[in-house]
Amino acid sequence: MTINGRREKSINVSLNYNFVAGICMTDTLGTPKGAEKGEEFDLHSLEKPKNKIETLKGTDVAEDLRDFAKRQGVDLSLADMQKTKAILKDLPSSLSDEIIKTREAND
Amino acid sequence: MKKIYFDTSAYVKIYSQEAGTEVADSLFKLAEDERTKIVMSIWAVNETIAAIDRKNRRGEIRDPQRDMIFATILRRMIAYAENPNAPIDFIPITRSILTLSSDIIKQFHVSADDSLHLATAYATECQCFICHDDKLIKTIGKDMSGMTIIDITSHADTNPLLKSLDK
Repeated sequence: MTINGRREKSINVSLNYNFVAGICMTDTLGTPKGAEKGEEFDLHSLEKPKNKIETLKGTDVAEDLRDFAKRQGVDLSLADMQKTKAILKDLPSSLSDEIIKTREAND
Repeated sequence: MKKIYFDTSAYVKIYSQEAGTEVADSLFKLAEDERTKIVMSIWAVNETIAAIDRKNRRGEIRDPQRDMIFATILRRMIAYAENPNAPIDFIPITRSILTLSSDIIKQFHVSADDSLHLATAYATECQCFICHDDKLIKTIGKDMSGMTIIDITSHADTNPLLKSLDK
């Protein structure tokens, strides 16, 4: 029993060591240098696209959005900025926070 | 003309009265007066719609309200798109932006959404990246290779920008 007990303890120590080692490695590899301090980064190593980035033509965007509204069954004549602002103002959290929370959940 | 990138977290502020809304409205007004150009990824449409959809699923917004908000958001974007003098440039998600976005994820360990916006802003040579995301600002810092990262709710960040555009 004593021997088994010691073995079990030994295994636990080993697992804990690996767990801690794993965390250390993740921290070392997963955090960019200076990230926690908000230091500036040099992005010169990132290559900008060689080809020019085209802006979507307005009519294409409008057509896509109209198509999206149609598929979703959204009646565009219901649009009302003042009512929209009033509804969003009374929500428990802002739209902005909702977007950030979703990104964090996906991270 | 200075090009300003609007992250979705900053853009949605034009639809609700909250911290940063006045600055967002001012920047859009300056863009309408051709003092600046606003750039956004078309991905912002999906992110905005998804945020409303989640609030609807949680019961914070009823179905008729959701439909009206969808309509408002889409109508506003369609109006911008159809107006040749509109203050917004919508940028598609191209293969080169995805590649750059992937590089940004590997280098900075930010989320796929964050990296897509950063890549779009960087690739289209925007001078400013406006957002309301503390975690992103903490990770990237206030400058990304010449592109200033601005918190739309921080007067210390936005006042110099508004002042420079209002000259």
